[in-house]
Amino acid sequence: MERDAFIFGARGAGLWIGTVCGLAGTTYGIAAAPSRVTPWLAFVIAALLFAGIWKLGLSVWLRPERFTARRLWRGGLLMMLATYVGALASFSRDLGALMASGSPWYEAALQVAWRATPLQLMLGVAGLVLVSLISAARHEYLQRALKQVHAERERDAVARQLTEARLTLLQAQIQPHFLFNTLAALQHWVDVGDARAAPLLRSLTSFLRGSTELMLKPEVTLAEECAMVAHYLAIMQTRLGDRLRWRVDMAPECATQLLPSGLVITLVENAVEHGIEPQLRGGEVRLVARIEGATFELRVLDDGAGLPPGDVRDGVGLANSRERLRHQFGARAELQLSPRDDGPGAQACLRVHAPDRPS
Amino acid sequence: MPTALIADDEEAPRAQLLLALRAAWPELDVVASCVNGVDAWDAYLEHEPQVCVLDVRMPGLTGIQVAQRINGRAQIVFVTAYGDHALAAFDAGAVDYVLKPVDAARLSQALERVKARLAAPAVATATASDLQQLLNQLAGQVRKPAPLEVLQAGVGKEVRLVRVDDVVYFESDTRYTRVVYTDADGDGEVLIRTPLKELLAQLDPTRFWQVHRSVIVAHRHIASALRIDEGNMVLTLRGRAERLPVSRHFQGQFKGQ
Repeated sequence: MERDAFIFGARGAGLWIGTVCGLAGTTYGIAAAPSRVTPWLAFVIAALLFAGIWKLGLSVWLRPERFTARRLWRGGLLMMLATYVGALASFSRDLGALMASGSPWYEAALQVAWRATPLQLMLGVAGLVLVSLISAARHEYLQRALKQVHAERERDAVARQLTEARLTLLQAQIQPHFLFNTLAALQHWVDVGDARAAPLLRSLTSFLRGSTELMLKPEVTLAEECAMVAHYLAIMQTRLGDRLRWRVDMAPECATQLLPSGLVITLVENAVEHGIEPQLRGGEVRLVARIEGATFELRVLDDGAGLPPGDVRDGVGLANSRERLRHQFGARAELQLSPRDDGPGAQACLRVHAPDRPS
Repeated sequence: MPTALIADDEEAPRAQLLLALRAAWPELDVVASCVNGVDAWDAYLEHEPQVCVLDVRMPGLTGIQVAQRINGRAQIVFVTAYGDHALAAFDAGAVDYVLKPVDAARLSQALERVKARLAAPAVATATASDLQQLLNQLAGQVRKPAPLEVLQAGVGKEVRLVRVDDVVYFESDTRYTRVVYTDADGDGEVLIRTPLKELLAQLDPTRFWQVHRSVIVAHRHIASALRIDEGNMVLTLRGRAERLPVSRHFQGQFKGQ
């Protein structure tokens, strides 16, 4: 059993003092009564009595869920029976006197029990009520505490997931494969004095600086994100030459739309990597953002190979994006990857509905 | 003089690789510099070089798929950027590779091993079968597009649709690809613009076998393989008179059981 903060804390001191006082009082009471009980025996009896009460009290306090109604009734009956036996023992002198007066033993016992009944009933009922009250209150308290612990744990988990999502994003954004391929091109053009080196280096620097800054913010405006997308596309354009064509159609009113940082660029990277690069003749990536009624819509389209047959499993980037969208917008945002309906290729479609008019 | 083929889909790394190869192995004659996987495979069949330096990620066919088709008949060195999924397998399988940007010292090391294998063909054969196993495993992980279902051929003012299932064989014909098919209406023949080497990457390899640089045949139409002499083999087709040549590289797949 773990140490209870209340019983073993400062507030529990009263309980201990009360116990010690009660123990002393009861010992004195038993010893002072007109009986042949020595003070030491009285102390032992009182100690046993209090040990029993403590044991019961502790059980109720720490494991209130054990005290179900059925157990309470059973325990109550057992307690009454025990006190009757105790009563018979303590009234043994009366019993002896009654038997001496000529009544048979059972009548004498019945009379003694009858005399003791109001006290027993009172004790039993009071004990039962006390135990059930304490157990019910404690039960509720513990349940509440447990719920709170669960809620805290869940909150921690969500916070951890978000941090992880951002880290993964940082990693995914600056993919080693992308970085080293770009460096390879750069290295060669620097070596041979090609004029493409300088603008490529400039784009790469802007992209890396932007990525690092992006990671520090959980959300960015579409305009900020599109600046990053432009750097990325400029790099890929330099590397792939005429294999990559791209276009951004952003309605002006979309510029201030807030989105999880790095989301749009993840979609564009997917389109280039899985849509354009595997094509022998390359293709075109289009980014279209608009607001229709109360819904913001962003689509990233490519005219590449399309989605592979069968179930498409989300990659790290896409799974991550969904998680962060869910966190920022709840059910208001949806992200779908599907074949394009107006030709070959794939499209990623993100919709965010305005909060006041969910459709 | 040993011959080589290089392939990378990006211009700058391809040019860098060429310069690095020239510096590291001046006697090596680079006979083809290819811009994607299908070109690399076609150039391999054309030149049959002893050494192939292949980028892993390429459109059409990946470097891994090209090496798988080469099937141990040339020494392979892969080129890839750090972060490629295949790297762990390459390391485990003792595959020769260099990372981009290509480092002169690493390239020389890889080329030394290639030279050693070229000098001792017995060792080379043993490594080749290990490599092939690894490549089959890696090629299985490549995301493949759905195989081509239908071909569209312009015939005068009409565009004729030919189901790939009905095709008997494809044959490249200078600027076109000749498609010979047989359907419910009988035998037919159309010309399409898609080069044979590009079609190859879009066909289901379990149904269509390449037997020559310029011939792909649906294997259910093959009746037999006839050996004419040491170097020459032809295929006869079920219910058809034409004979299709099998080039040396592909003769191994007709060996009897």
